[in-house]
Amino acid sequence: MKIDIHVHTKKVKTGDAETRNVTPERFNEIIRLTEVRILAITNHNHFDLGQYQAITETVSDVCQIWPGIELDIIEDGRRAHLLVIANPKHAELFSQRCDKILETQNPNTFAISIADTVENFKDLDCIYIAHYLNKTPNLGDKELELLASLIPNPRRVIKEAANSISAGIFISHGHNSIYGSDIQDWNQYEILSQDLPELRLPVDSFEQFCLLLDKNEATINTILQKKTFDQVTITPFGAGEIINLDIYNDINVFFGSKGTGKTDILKSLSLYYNGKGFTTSVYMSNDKHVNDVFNLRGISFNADVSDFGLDECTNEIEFIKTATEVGVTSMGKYRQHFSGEETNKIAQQLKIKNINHIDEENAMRSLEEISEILDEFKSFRSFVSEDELVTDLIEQELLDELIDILERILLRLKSKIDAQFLEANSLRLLNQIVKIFNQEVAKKTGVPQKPTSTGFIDYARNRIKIEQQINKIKSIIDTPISPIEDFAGDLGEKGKLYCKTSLRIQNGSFTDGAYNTVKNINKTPQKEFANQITTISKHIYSNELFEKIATLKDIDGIEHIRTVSDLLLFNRIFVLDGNLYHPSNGESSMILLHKELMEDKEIYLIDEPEKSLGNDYINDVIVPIIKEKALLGKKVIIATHDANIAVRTLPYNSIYRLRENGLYYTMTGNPFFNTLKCINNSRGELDWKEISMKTLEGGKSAFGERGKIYGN
Amino acid sequence: MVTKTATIKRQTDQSKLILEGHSGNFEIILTEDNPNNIKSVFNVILKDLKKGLIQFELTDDKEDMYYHICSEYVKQLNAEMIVIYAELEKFELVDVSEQVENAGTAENAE
Repeated sequence: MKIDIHVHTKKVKTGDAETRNVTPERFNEIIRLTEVRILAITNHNHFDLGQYQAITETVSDVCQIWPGIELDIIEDGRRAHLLVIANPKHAELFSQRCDKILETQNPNTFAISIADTVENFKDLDCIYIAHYLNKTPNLGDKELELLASLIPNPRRVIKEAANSISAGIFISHGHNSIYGSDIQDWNQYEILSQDLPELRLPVDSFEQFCLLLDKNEATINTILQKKTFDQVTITPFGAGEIINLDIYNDINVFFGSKGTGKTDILKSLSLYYNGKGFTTSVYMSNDKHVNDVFNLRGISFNADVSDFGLDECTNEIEFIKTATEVGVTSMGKYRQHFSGEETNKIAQQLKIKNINHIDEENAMRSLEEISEILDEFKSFRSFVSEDELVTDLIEQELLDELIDILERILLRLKSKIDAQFLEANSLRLLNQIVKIFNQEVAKKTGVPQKPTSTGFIDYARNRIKIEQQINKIKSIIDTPISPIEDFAGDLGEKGKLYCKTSLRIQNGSFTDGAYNTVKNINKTPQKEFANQITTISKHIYSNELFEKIATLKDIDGIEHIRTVSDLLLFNRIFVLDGNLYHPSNGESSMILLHKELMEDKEIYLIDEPEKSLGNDYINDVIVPIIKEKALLGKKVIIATHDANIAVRTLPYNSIYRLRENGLYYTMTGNPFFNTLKCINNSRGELDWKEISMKTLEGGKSAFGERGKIYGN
Repeated sequence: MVTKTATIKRQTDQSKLILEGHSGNFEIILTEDNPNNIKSVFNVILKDLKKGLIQFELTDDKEDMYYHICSEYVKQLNAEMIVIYAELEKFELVDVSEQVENAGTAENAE
């Protein structure tokens, strides 16, 4: 939920950009694209009640609109800007008061004193937001003190700085501060809105916002109760110390000096939640190195070419390994036949013996093909009539029509099969008859039978099949496989790190020693096999073909090559901007923490995430992810010594482990109350901010010296 | 389809069936049993078939045993080449560009 307390909807002053003008319709359109749910309309020295009401009505289902004005203040001869935002209940009265002070005055030259401003709006439950420091024209500390002294509740004065690092109103570092868009061009609002303050506690109304400014306990409790939490009882230090904790579906931070048992509590929480059926473990920084986590050495790594849509060529490789030559008909058989003179008269009259062998294979193949098509149609016919979902989804009339067509197709195919069966078997019968006649004539006449085929068909078929198989294997071997890139983690400014697994099929010429075999096989037979496949491909129509195949069969270790996957090689590295990168130990911690947080879990238990990490990385990468998890209702439980995590995430739940005079205390609280209370009431309250500043590393700067807060 | 010539070369020591190929002649020795010789010829025929269907026409003026052997052999081979060419086409192993050129040549010859 974002808030924008400084919005212009009209060009009022001469210096205002035309692009500040926005219609209620356009406003509605833009706001719905953003996460901004509270906006204050604060035009220069002007309040348009009509426009305010029109906008409020248009967007009432998505956001709150608060009435306001940006006034030119003059105090001790110094001009400054002050936003006055009134309770929306008093919008009409606010409009009248604005009219009263502005009356006939020119907004370009209008100016009013602080005292007159307070006097004019004093009964309208207002918030005053002053331009401060680098947000000019600004009010000085002296003028702000005056303003605070004139209003009943000084907490209603907030400072607006241009680039305040304070996000939201509650991390006020001793200074109530906030900032708004001060929008110049509504076309840019969707993008600009992303940098607006995020309200850590959801605010339902203007009144609730004011109560939160006052740190009103009842209000904070009401809002906190809206968040779900588990009441957990654990005994990390034995039965003698029972710890009852509320663990929120949000950020829960453990802090305290070293050796106070924070890690033990995390482990105990992990056991507790595992007992409830969750799968949790405590993430310990520096426990492992990223090289091991991403299995850079590829221990037990496995992959198959079929994973990448490539054929394994199991049958093709087996065929080549077992291929044998096919014989041809020798000329001697022709000579033997034609050298004998056939004197038997009956034999001379038997014309059938002169019929040559007719190829049966084509006819048989056609029969098989038609049979396969017939089976497909039969199966589709069954599917159409038997599948319940089909009958539910498609009208019966339409189905009947389809079934009718299918029946006709089936009939046609059956008739084709009958014809093809007849043809194939007629051929077979004819060849058999010719063969028997030839044998019998040869026996009777003593003249050797005439060869019925030169052997060319079988010889050619064998070669063609070898060529097909070899071509297929070769084409797969030569296919490049795209590397697998897994996002490893964000290295902040350096960029994003990926774990890249490159895969190659050994094609005979690949020699990169950084690659290892995927399967349990040596590199030498892989390479020899691939090379021999290429050699065979060059000798398909040569008399040396089977010598080459024999060489392949003789490769030492050939028995391990059964599929193309057996030729796979792989190499796994980290890459940054496409180049090889070796993450340092610190970067290893960054990546592993990022990885842990990016996993989709219900409960994150993290011990000292800050170890080996720089503040920038924690602020820019880790804290936003933690906040996002909290918004998604996940339980994020962190033990930390780092103020950036413990303070800037504004945890719903801060758990402080205190060692005092040899005794241990568990205290809980949050930044909204600014107190820490002992869970057993065995000692007094502590100030959350003070303890955080004292205990956490970088505590003082997280709460911020003045300069750091306002960025000057 | 391209028609190529087949002739018989009779010699005292060795008689041969000479078949005309796309890039030269090749010979089948009729007087020896030499499977490798036949396989070599078949390999050349297969390569030629990839460039288009060919058929042999025996030209000879003697009616001796060699004529009968070669006549029968060429007849069988022609029939078998038609079967194999159809398969080469089916498996897309025919070199289309070569085939077009040959078809053009054959047409021009006619």
